[in-house]
Amino acid sequence: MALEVKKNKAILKEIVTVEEAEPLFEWFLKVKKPEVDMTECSHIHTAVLQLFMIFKPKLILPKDEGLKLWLIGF
Amino acid sequence: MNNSLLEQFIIESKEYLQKIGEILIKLEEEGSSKELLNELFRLVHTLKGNSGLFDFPAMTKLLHASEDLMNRLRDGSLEYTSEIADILLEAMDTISQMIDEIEASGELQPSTNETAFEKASFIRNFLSEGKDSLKKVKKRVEKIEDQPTEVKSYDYLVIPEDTRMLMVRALFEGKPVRILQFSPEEECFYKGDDPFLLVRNTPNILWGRYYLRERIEDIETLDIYKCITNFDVVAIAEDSVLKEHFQYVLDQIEIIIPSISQLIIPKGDRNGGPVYEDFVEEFTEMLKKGDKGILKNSLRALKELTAPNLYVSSCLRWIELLIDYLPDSMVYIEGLLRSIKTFEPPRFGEVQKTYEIKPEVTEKSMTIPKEVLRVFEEQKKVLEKISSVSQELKEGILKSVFLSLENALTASKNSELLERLKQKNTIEDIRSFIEECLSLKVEEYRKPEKVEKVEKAKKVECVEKEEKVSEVAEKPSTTKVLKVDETKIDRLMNLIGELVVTKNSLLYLSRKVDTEYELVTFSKEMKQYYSVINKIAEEMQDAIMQVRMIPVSTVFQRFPRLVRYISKKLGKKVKLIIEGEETEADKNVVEALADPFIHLVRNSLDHGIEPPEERIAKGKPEIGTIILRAKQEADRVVIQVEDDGRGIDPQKVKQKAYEKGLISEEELEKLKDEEALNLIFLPGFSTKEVSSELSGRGVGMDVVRSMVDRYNGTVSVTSVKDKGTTITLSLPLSMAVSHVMLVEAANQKYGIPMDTIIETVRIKKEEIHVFKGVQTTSLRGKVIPILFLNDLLELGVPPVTTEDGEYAVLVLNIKNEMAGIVVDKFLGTADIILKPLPGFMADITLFSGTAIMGDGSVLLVINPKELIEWR
Repeated sequence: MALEVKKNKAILKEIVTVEEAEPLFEWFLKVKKPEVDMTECSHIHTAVLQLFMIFKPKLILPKDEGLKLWLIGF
Repeated sequence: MNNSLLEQFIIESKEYLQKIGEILIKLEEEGSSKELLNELFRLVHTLKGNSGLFDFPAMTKLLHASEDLMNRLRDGSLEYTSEIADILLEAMDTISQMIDEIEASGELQPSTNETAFEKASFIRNFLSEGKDSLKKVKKRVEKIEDQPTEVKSYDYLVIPEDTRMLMVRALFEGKPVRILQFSPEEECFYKGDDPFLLVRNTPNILWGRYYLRERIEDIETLDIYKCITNFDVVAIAEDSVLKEHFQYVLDQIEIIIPSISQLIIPKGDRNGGPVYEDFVEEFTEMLKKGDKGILKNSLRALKELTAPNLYVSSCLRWIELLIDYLPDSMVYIEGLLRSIKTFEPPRFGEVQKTYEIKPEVTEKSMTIPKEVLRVFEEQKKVLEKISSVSQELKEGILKSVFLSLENALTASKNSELLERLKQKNTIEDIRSFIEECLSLKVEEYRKPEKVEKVEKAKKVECVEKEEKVSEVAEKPSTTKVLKVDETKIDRLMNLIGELVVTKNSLLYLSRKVDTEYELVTFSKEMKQYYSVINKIAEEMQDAIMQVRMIPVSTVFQRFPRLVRYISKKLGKKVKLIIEGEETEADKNVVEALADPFIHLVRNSLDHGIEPPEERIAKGKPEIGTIILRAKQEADRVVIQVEDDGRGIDPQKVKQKAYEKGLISEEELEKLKDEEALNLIFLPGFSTKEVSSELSGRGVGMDVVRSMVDRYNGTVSVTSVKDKGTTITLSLPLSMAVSHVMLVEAANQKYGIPMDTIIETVRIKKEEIHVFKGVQTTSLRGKVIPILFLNDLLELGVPPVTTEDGEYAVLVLNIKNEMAGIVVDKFLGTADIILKPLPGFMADITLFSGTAIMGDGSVLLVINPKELIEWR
């Protein structure tokens, strides 16, 4: 599973596909201060990226430099 | 073929190809319209996308090339000409052929593949020639001049300063710098696309950003599978490379070519910091000497004194970069220096004195009209791109730039600059000349508020676009359209036909149970069940019938082109009006209409509508009118062709018919005008000679008549001399199931279509009288001829009367005349599926076909019209 959901923290790993968007969305709706750990994540699908823009969770940035650059801005 | 996806692809492709063909013709007729071009592009794009699902590389390649060509048409860099129309039509013909081959065998013939590849590379060549040849470049430049408002505006400030600096460096080094805006379609997730992944993999990406293009109103109802993210990317790559990468979403991207001056935007706090005027003076002096080292040192000293968030600091950073590209960057440095003094946004080229401009020019404060400046701007852009092309092309482009400038200056009657232009002959010379001219009068263009306006306007446009997109996307959810292979519907139709017939056997059975086995109650129950089944079958039949209904517009569509073509050829002016094209009828009926209809319209054009001069002489409007009208009347579809031409002269028709021996002298005297008009439908009447002498109708009218007859329709004509003619065709809405009356003659059953029967009566032998050798009877005061079916069919058996000595007579309406047909017995009515007579029997027009009855027997269905003529 590329998505692991804990109480206030979601952990994204490797490649996060569009299938993960729905559970993540449900989780975002429930959690007040969401935190997403992306340390081991290398790519997120656009649908997930959209959720990040909408819910603006606190991000633990990925090791993947390419993705990190996109998340923090070039 | 058992691949349902492929089947679907074939069905859809055919539909797309038809639409594409229509649009291509429409474009040629109506001139290029942005809407049509967009639609065209969308269709080809979808087709290409679909073809990519299968392994038909030649097809995808040809479609891709066509798509690129259409894109060029769409963005206005190529004009739609008949040459391009030919290329595209041919390409679509090839695709059509490929689809047919795939449908037939599931694969493509090697020769077709080859043709497709050839055509694709032909289009590619055409495109690259169109891009590079001197002629086309000139054309393109002229085009841009024509539409100065279409200059793209992009908010360059969203790009961080350091990225913009990298872009400017790349531009000075002659590298291709592009900004790509990608707005993925909303439903792309459903297609398995991940736009973010596509963007991340952009070749030579320098910078990127993403943002939501829509506001989220209610988070609870958010559709997470709708893509609302847009991307901006900066890449150091040629258009072709980017287009290749984004090849499947070309309609969703926009590529912007930024210029150096657009990217140099100093930004920061305008307050505070030391006084810079002295620095500017000093620095300007140093610039003249052009020692880069000294310039840089001087800059650094000041930079250290200035907080990095200040506006001035930003200007200094830009100047530091630009020093590396002296002397080319001179204009920009000077602009920035002025901006440091004034804190106004820099205007590059707003130079009072530059090291190159000759004093006398500036002293006169020469002005150049705005339009000319625009030409210069465009040519400057052309020159900026010149580094990426080959040497031979460079010369061509240079020549074109030179000519454009020369033309602009000649037009503005600026002989002085013209003279100076003529002395320039290298790219560098011309480039600096352009810069110089652009600096002459800059107040007139690129005012900041103007840019803002454009941006606002663009934003509005975007919103509208999005709304449109969502509208389109929503439609399918409200009315889902299912595309089904025609043969499947035909099969359903046949099956329901069989069911209708089979259910009839229940009725036979119930009668048999009653009469032979005397089980009255059982028979009654059977009848009850029969009525239920009957009802369901009828409803089902009706439902399937609905499925087969198509609008007559499918036939009408071809007429605008036909009318335009023929009227042009005949030198006549004709306006075509189409009414009620949404009227629906059975597919077969609509298809059957096509041929007779072409005859009728052609006749109207050829013989009906007069040449303009004749019309004017008659006091009619110069432009003739032809109206194609369709409407539904009860269970028939009525189609009319009406013209306001010269009409048909009944006297001449009668005379001609008499001369041809088609009517007797008596008829010649007696025939009323309306009746006379119907003579034109007689087979012998239709000869070329007649029609041309009459200058009226006649050609192929009997063909129309026989076609209509075949489909159980009627045709009539009304005409007023010099006012016009109306021809009305009436056809059944559907012809799958026929309602017939069953009769018996000489122990054999026959069917007679119900729609020709007026009534059934019984007539006593004595009531039949012979007048002039014709047997007649009087029915409610009207004399009608009496014919015997046994005689007509030459059955060789005398007719039978009932016990009361009465004949069973069917009163038929045949071509608006009543006639009584004597049969042996009436057997009730039945719904039958009429099957045409097969093989060599098809020539026997006396019978319109056969049907299998519920008891398994074969029923011959008589064609009453033929029956009368048969005698």
